[in-house]
Amino acid sequence: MSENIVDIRDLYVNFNIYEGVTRVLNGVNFRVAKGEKVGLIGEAGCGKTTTVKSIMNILQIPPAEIVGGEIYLEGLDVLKMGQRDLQMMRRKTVSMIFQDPTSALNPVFKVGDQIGDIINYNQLALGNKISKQEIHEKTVQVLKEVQMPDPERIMNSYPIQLSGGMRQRICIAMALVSATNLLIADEPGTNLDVTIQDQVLRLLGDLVRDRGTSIILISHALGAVKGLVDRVYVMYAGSMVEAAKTEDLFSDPLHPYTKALFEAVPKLTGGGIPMGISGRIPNYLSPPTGCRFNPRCPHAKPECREKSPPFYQVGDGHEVACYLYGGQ
Amino acid sequence: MNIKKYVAYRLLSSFFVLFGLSLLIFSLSRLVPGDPARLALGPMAPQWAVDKLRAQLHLDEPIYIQYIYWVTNVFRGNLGQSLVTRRGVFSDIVEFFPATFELVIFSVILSTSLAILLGVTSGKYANSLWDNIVRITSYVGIAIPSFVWAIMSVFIFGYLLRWFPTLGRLSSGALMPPKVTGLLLIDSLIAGKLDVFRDAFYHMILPGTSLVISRLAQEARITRASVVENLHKDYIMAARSFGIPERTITLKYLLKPSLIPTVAVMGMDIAGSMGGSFIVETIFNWPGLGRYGMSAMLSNDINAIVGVVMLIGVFFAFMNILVDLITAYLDPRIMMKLRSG
Amino acid sequence: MNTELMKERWKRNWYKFSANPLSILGLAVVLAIILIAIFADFFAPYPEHAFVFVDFKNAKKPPSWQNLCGTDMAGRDILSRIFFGFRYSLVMAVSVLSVATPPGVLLGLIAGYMRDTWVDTIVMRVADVFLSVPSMVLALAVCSMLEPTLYNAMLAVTVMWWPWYTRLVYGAASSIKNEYFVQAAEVTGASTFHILFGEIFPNCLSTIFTKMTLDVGWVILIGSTLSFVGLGAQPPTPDLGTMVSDGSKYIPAQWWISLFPALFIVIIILGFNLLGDGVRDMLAGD
Repeated sequence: MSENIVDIRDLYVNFNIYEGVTRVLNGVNFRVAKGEKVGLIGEAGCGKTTTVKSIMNILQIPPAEIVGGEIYLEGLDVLKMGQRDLQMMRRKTVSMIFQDPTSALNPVFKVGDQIGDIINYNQLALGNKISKQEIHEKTVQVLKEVQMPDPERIMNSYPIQLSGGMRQRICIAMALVSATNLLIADEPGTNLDVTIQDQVLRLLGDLVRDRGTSIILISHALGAVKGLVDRVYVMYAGSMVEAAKTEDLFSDPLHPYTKALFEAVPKLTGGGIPMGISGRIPNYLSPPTGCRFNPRCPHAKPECREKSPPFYQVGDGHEVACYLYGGQ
Repeated sequence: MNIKKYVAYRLLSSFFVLFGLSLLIFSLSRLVPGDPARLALGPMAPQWAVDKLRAQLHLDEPIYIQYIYWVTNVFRGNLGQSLVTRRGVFSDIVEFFPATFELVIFSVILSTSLAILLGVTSGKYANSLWDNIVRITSYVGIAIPSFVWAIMSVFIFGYLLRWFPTLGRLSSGALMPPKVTGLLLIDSLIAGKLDVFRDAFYHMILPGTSLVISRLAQEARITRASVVENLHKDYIMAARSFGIPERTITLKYLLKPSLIPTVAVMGMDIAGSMGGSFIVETIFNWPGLGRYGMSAMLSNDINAIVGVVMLIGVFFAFMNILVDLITAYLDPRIMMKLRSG
Repeated sequence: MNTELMKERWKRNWYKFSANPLSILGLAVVLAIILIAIFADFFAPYPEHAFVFVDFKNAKKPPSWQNLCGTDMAGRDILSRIFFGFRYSLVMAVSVLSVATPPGVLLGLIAGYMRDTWVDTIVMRVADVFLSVPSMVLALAVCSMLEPTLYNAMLAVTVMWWPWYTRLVYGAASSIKNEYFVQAAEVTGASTFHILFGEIFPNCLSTIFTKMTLDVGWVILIGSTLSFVGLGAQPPTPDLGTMVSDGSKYIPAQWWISLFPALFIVIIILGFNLLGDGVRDMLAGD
């Protein structure tokens, strides 16, 4: 446990909205070891962002409500942390690269100012006092690292003056100066052109490789994840259904959902246009009992409807939450 | 299109609009029934005196000739003579303008500061008791016409509680400080006369609040709405995720984007209050442009009416351009739009 | 079948409207005012006091059970006069809005549709001229030059009110005209008349209607200010603004003569503002 930088156990999160209570996270189990690069894949709306936001405890509470489970970050219980400790944690341990770089940047402040503030508080958390000159230098340095041309000019620009790809890189830069231990990248580049997205992911890969930082990479693009991470979690409707080393997962998917997911991806090598997965993602207001995939699963058994299956170990580091792989 | 071109375009545009305004107000003042000359001299005056005044004012000539006389005079700095004060309208305006300017600026600055305080606190703590109090009070505040507040505040604060004086800029018998700007608050500070400063300040409270009470409520509402909207924006959550302290977030990252609509409204409130001053100054006997303009209108003092309306029009146009420039400066997104024409 | 759709529509609108209890309050206040205004003879305790009536024995009496708001300097019951006064406020609002809106909207439609032509420039510049001074100034100027009557006050306010609608509709029309359904109508040879009134105008309706309901409060505010200054309805007409002005001479001793009319002015404006907000919430996102 002490080698894990992130350890989420049985996390249950509800959202209290106008129509009722949505049970968004349904017993999430998630681990990231120190220095490990972990991917998190799943359909839009399955709870990926909610899971990682709870690691940093930046969920909007209300309407969100954490109703059960534990989250450990570097061995410390995040949910029991005081304001001060949470702030420290956000300033030096973990940082997040947001999905939409346009909305994540404050439109009325210069980019350099925003990065500068983050550097300042990061250094304070590390116990260093830092001068304006040094902040300036560090800003230029990190902008160079994310391959921004002409850092001085960029620093004096407002977000509106930059392109989408540049804004994404600014967000990466911000995350880099804010934390050294864990980086959470929430679908970086999804809103951008595919070629830009590719650049962004490559950049991320290079940066992470050089620093030895742990990283959680969220994506709903399977191919993007493949080249970058050591281990992958597959998520469906609020809980993890499968976890394995990257090669193992892609070569030998076990969970019925994962199998269906991979089959649904069109292959360039032919085979016709695949069928999607039949059925729909559940309504979180009244989700199915037991394993949430059971209405759509071709192998569903009565016990699947009664209780959610735990993770069963199958082989080296390969876990599946499915009764097909473990007795009742 | 850069800033200089934009400003030039706006100035030219305003010039044409003001030209149109001058046509409008000039025709209105000359074409109404009644004889301004007779009204000015009174029913007892002999007809030849009235006729002489009429000739002086070119009242019997075709209207476009009258207008040409007026325009050429304006370019010479001559706005004609007031039929009431018997002095040049221009000098009247110069004399009365500072009092109104001081009242308006003082009141709007005060009201906007208060509005920001109320709006930010009630927005940040939305749906709390404080928020509900502020919201209900601002609903009521918007519905209070300035004359109603004037009467009620004179009654409550002037007579019942005797907190504030109700007439004029200074207590009778008080000496005015040597005139530097014409703004009593500043002049008294320059002359070092703190008791005069205090006296002038107190005299401004009731007329000032009457002038801006409903605008204060509106500004608070707008600020609150803006804060509530921005509070849930991603960039605030992002700032929090990087460990930026709450205080910095509220006072820097939330405040600046939220205040942009407020600043715009504040500018327009300064301009709009020039209109409200007509009523408020008359009620409080405040020796400003509003009182002058009101009495000019009630006595059909045609030159004064045109002079005052034109001045207000110029001020309004200037304010409009200034507000647009300031908003663009504060919000780079607007600046981008301006630049692209 | 069509009525079913309409019923659904109204149910949905009512749901949105009633979400805010303040809107319901506004609606209640406005309905009460309208009712009282129409049936003032019935609601007023002393309907004969409304106009010309003198009873100096009972003049300047403070509020009591016989006269809930006291009596004024001529001995008239103030509450009754206030009730009759509602009529003038409502008449002002209704007349101004019904007269100023159609030309304002029409000009805005034309200018917006013919954007970037000389028509646009002329119409909008003329509107700009009327908007180049604060509304109060123009209203006062026009009003002071005419004989002080309620009719002339309404005229003055109408004159400076129409450009707001022109601007509003101009903005709406110039963006709507780029929509596909308008271009389709143009291509199929529809007449300009049809495009303006059949295609563009219906899409502006909710914006216009929202503004109209929000404007009622403002018109009443300006109207009462004009009569306060003496430029509107003249005594003995029981106009609320005039009543405040008449009573101001008797402050502080007989404070009720001014205060109650003033209070009711605020109540009327508040009621219409709350109602207007509710209508805006109801029509938003349609």
